[in-house]
Amino acid sequence: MLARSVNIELPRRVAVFYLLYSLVAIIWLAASAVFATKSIVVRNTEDELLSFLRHAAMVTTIELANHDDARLQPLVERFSHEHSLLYCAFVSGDNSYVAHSQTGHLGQTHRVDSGITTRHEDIEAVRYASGSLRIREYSSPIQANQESAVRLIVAKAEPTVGETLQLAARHAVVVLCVPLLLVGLGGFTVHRLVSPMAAIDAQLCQAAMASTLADVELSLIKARGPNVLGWNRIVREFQEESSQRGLDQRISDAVQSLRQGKSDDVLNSLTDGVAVSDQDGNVTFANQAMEAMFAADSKPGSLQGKDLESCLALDAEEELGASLFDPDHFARHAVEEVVRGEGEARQFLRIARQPIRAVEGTSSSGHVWTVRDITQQKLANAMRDQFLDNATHELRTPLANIKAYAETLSIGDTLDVETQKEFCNTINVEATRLARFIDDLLSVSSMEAGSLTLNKQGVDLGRLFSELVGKVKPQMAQKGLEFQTIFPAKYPQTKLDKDKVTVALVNLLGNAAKYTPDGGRVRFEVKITDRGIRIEVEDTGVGISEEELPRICEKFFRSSNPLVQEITGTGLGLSMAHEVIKLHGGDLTIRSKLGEGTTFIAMLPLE
Amino acid sequence: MSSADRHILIVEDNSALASVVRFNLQRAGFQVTVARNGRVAWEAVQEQTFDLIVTDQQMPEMTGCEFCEKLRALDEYRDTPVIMLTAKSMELDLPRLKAELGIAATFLKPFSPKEIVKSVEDHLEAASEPVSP
Repeated sequence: MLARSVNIELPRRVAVFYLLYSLVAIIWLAASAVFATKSIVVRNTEDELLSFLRHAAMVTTIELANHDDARLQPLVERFSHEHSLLYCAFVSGDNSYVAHSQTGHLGQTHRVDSGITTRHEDIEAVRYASGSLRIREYSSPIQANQESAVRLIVAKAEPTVGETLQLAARHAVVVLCVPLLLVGLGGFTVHRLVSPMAAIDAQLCQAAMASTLADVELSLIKARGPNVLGWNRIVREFQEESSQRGLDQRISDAVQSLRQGKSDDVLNSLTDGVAVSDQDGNVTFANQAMEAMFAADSKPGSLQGKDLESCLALDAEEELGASLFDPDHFARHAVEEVVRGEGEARQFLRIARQPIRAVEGTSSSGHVWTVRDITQQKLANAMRDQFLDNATHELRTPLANIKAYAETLSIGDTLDVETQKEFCNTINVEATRLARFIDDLLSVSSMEAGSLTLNKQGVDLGRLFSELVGKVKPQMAQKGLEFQTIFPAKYPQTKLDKDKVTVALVNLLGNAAKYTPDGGRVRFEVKITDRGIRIEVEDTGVGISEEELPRICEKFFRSSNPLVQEITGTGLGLSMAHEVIKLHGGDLTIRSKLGEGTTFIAMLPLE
Repeated sequence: MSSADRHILIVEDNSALASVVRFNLQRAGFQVTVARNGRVAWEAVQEQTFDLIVTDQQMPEMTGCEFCEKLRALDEYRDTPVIMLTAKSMELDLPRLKAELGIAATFLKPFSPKEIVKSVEDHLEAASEPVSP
């Protein structure tokens, strides 16, 4: 019903109903008027007849007093004519017509069919039907001379429906047209009054049918009138409020997402992997680092919903990760170091798992996981362990010699002088070696602490280099290496830390000797350029691979080349040489080919 | 059996140390051969029979333990006493070394050559004693 009504505009509806009811009222009024007309006409007629009757009776009485019976007939004819009677008659005492307007009835007996009789004083009125007519007959006694009792009878037909309507129609124009006009005007006025409401009504119906008020689009109405103004005002306020509400909602959403985004940003900017799992072990959140570490594909959110244990894909044989997934320990904090992958891709991970304490006292609602890649740390530790091994060896070996030879010397008078001298020399050499190594260690400690300082002084370069050569010559000779030295004729004046530079160069030369197989060649060349002192140490040794070349000066770094591994070294010499050269403001360049040899070029600026 | 008949193999990559140990053993009357590393030692044991082996642990190409393992695969060296010299205290897990490789004694560097000689003598004596029923 509502839906159907919506299709018809309100004003039209109102107008239609108004007109409908008005018309019904008018029709009812018209009908009543017609009906009333008849009654009025009848009553009027009756009154008229009754008064006429009295008058006529008097007239008749006078006539009869003159003893003129013959005058009765013209009387009735006159009466009938004058008053448009249906008939008029005189009835004698014996109930026969002595005069009758309809002459055919003369002499007949006055007879009336059954009807309704009423009395108006001495006048008797009968209403009866004859055919389609309703007739009213009035009879009044005439006071004549006592001899003849005559009654005067007059009758008139009640107007028929048609006659009534005709009568009514005479006034129809006035009776009907004015109200019709008024109703019409009223309808028009009503329509006009209501038409602004049409738009409002339509919008209200819309509002009634919309699922949420936010979907309703209310619009202002172009019309005049206080109700329209009121409506427009309401709509404006509503729109303002909705937009305000919309704005508030948007601000609230923006703040929410900003906060959310911020915390997501924070989590995603961590290098550690962070994940949250529910009580079934499925991932409910994983930050970018976590996905980078464990997701099979690169789409963000690909870990979502997956079972965390299978994502981590830890080696099932390793017991290392067992406690992380042990259901008995779910309520506790667990930390494990696990291994993933092999060879080059071998990763050491530190995985920590913390149960989430549920807020509303529900049972454990999952865990927070953090995963840290500690591969670098492990590798660094491994390198340092290797260094310690080597360091211990390097310290203990010369010491072992010193003790053994010293003890042997102390026993024997069975030793000849040559042997004794030889033994003492060995002790001396070993003691020196030990001392040098201890120096290296101390330097390394200062390097580690960042406190390596230079003691720059004026230096005699010529002497420095010749002393250097003296230091390394035995080593070269021992391996049968061809030791080439090229020096400039003149040296400029400059300042540098003599001891440290010496150590650095001894390291370079010592390496050249160490890592060159017997019978090889080592070239030591010094050139003075405008940039500074250029020192080249070239060997025909084992060389350095392309992959390892960038790392060769790292502390503790030792090549994994087996030819290098079998030669004792601490992995410190180059890093120290590099550090010393850098501190002097210079640089160290390395060129090498695996299996062919290496060239170290050190540049020391002049001061 | 006098010590002159005993042939000792020294496996040590540090030549100075090898020399002084050899000197002391020779002074005690033993025959001594020196091998610079495990590979050379391995060749040596196949060519000759030694009564006792003194070996360093940290050596290039083959460590002392590795050499020992290979040694024990040879029938004639199954029970030969082996004395190990080492610079690392960690490896002095003597019970394990004894159980797995049959290493008779270990010495941490720096050591006393006199003690080495004594240990050699003791273990040779122990090895030559008949096995009690």
